[in-house]
Amino acid sequence: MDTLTLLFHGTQAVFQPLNFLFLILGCVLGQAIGVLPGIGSAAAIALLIPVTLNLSPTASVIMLAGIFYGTNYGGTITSVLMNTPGESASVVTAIDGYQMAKKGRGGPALGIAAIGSFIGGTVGTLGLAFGAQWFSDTALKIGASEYFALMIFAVALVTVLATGSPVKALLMGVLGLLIGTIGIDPDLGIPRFTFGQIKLYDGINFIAIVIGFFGLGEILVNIERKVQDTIYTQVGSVLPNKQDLRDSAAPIARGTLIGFVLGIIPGATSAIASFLSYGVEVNRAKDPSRFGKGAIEGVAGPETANNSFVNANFIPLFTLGIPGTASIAMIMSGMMSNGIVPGPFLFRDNPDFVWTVIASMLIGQVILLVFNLPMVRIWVLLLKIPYSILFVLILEFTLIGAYAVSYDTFNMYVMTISGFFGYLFKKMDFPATPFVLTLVIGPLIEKNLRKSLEISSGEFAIFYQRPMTLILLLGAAFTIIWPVFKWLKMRLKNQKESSRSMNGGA
Amino acid sequence: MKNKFKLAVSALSIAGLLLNAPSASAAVYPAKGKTITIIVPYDAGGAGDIGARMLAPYIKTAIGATNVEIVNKPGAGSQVGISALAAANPDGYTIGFTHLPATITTYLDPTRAATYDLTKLTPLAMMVVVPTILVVRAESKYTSIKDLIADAKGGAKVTISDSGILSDGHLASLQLQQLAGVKLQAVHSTGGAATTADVLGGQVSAGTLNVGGATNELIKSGKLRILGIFSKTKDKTFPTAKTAKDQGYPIYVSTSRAISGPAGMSASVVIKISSAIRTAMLNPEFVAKANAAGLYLKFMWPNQLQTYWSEMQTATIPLMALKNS
Repeated sequence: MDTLTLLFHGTQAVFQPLNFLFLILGCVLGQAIGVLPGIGSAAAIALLIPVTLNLSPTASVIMLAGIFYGTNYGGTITSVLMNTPGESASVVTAIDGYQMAKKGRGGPALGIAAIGSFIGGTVGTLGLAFGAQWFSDTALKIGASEYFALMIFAVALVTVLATGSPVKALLMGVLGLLIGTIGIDPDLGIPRFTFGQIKLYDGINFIAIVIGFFGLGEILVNIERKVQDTIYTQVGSVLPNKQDLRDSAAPIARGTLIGFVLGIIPGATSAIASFLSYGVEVNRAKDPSRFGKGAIEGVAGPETANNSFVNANFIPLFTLGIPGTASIAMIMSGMMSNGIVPGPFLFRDNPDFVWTVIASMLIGQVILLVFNLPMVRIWVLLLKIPYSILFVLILEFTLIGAYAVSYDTFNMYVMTISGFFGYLFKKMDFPATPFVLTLVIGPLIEKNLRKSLEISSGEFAIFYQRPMTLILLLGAAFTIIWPVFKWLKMRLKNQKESSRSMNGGA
Repeated sequence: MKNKFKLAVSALSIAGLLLNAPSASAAVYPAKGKTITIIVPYDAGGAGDIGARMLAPYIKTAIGATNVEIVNKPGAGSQVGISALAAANPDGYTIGFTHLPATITTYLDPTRAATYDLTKLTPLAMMVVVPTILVVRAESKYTSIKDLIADAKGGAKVTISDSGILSDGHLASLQLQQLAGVKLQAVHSTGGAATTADVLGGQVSAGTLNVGGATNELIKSGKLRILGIFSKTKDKTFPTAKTAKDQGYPIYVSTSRAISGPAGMSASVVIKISSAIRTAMLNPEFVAKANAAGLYLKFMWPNQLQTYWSEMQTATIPLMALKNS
């Protein structure tokens, strides 16, 4: 039977009452969990697995998968409207999305995010349907050294074109690296910078830092002046206009590709996909200084990337039984608790299950798009609430979110302290992006660097002997050198011109 | 009238005294209305959580408690949760999962500054024991541990992926290096999934995994090949796979899920809990669910578990020094 026929049968099965009910339930729950900061899809899926034991395996996984990709639709909302990323994947969206909201363009930001998410999610699912085996075999060829080089490339892309003082950007980047080292050494198992606190053995929680740094920091900056009635100038059109769609088309295409490629590699996270997409957009833009001030490409690309990532993540799970991220590992637990073990025989032994779930993912994207676009109007109404009331709500949100991370008060302290630093750094004009980037990517760079060296038994040759690694590292080097080169050329040109005018002028 | 009143009062008060028998040791365990808390030192849905949640209701019925509740206390690779367990009241209302060898390597490692060790815990029962295996991918030229060792002795760089420093797989490869007298490069990954990806993708020569779950599917389909099983007996699912002992390397490593309580629990409570766990684990409904989820159930009584744990601890101590080789 060819894929289209199987997919058609799967789609029919999705519309059975029970399956459809749980698909909608999963999407709505996922959306809601995405909006709530601190609680991620992994925790939600884990809590719901016992519930699924009473359902058919198909309905269970349809719901759990819906929660997984639905979260990425919901996380955007608090990122854009309140500068409080609810999930690590939505952190990048906050950078430009919130600035757009402040300029009255919150509606278009949310709208484009929903459209991009839909396209990314659909393409990701189609990849799963039509090429799962090939993609997963290819993805296995990506090893620690390639991953390391890719991360270096991502850092180069994002930090090179940082606007404002490059010294400040570098400082923030290094700070992120430093904080990322706190915890148990990934390789030698020795606690670093933990001062004997076992709560720090896993490092400082990223979500807690980010909720504080972005969310609480923004509140503190805003209430420092006399609390104005609203901090948002005007709420313009609610949906993206034609120009927005035109500007976002290419970023969405690129974001889909980036998210998909990272999604099939076990071990990546959607946060990395969105950062990489942001980096690529910054580099490809004609006027990179727009980023950080409300560039719609900075929302379109990353949002698409994280949705395409999430759906592509099912590929290694279904074909080889390898869960790439924590949430997918939960879904795998859910499958196994229901008696379905993923692996090479999954498509062969459980075709009904597989194709119904894949079809449900496609229909789920449609459901979420239809749910989100009209809701944009309602979300944007939140911006009309007087800030004197709104900021209290956001503050509560950040506190609850910080608690939800690990169900104890430790992360609430982390969040609060991060908030004060976020305020300070904003006042002193230190950019947040490099900090968050290295916080996420730093530990991965270290882990993969050391793993590569273990594989090569200490020889650095591994970084230039493997072709893909070499290409990526050269790309990173080029990204860094090119702007310096251009700057030197301009300096020389200016010097020549000024000396010519001095000599040529009478 | 007054005398009858006095008599009534004294009768009632004596009755009251008799009914209010002192609680503590003479009370029935588990007391009505009290909850037994089982601490799982990993994230919800993570290692052992699903199995624990599956077992909890059956323990409740077997022990006759009003409520049995799972509480997740993740962090520091089970150190946070087990620290809480060791510090809890040894009245039998707080027990928890202590996975081996993770628990042992944590407290043997001085840099971890663990607040517990075997003397501060009471082993209650063993639930799951999963043997560790050495696997290669289908395209690999190795068909036995001998091939791998021979290759290493011949000077080839042999890399073995494991799921983390001092994980069961790492301990196995350390022992293999000692017995075979050859250097094998350990590549630490972040877990079984990453190790599987490394092996399948040819990034490493071999990997250490546990039988069960998705790994079994990969072996059955031929994508992975077992070089050796690090246990005393062969595996039922893969009867043709040789043990490491049969190949000349008596290495016994497994990952297991033991249930323990804080030190100082009374003997009667210990027996009650372990018997209840045994009854729960023999329940056919539970066994069916566990098999469907790919759990390798194995029960041990407290004294058996104590012996198993001490032996593992003794075998692990000399390996701790090799941690960074």
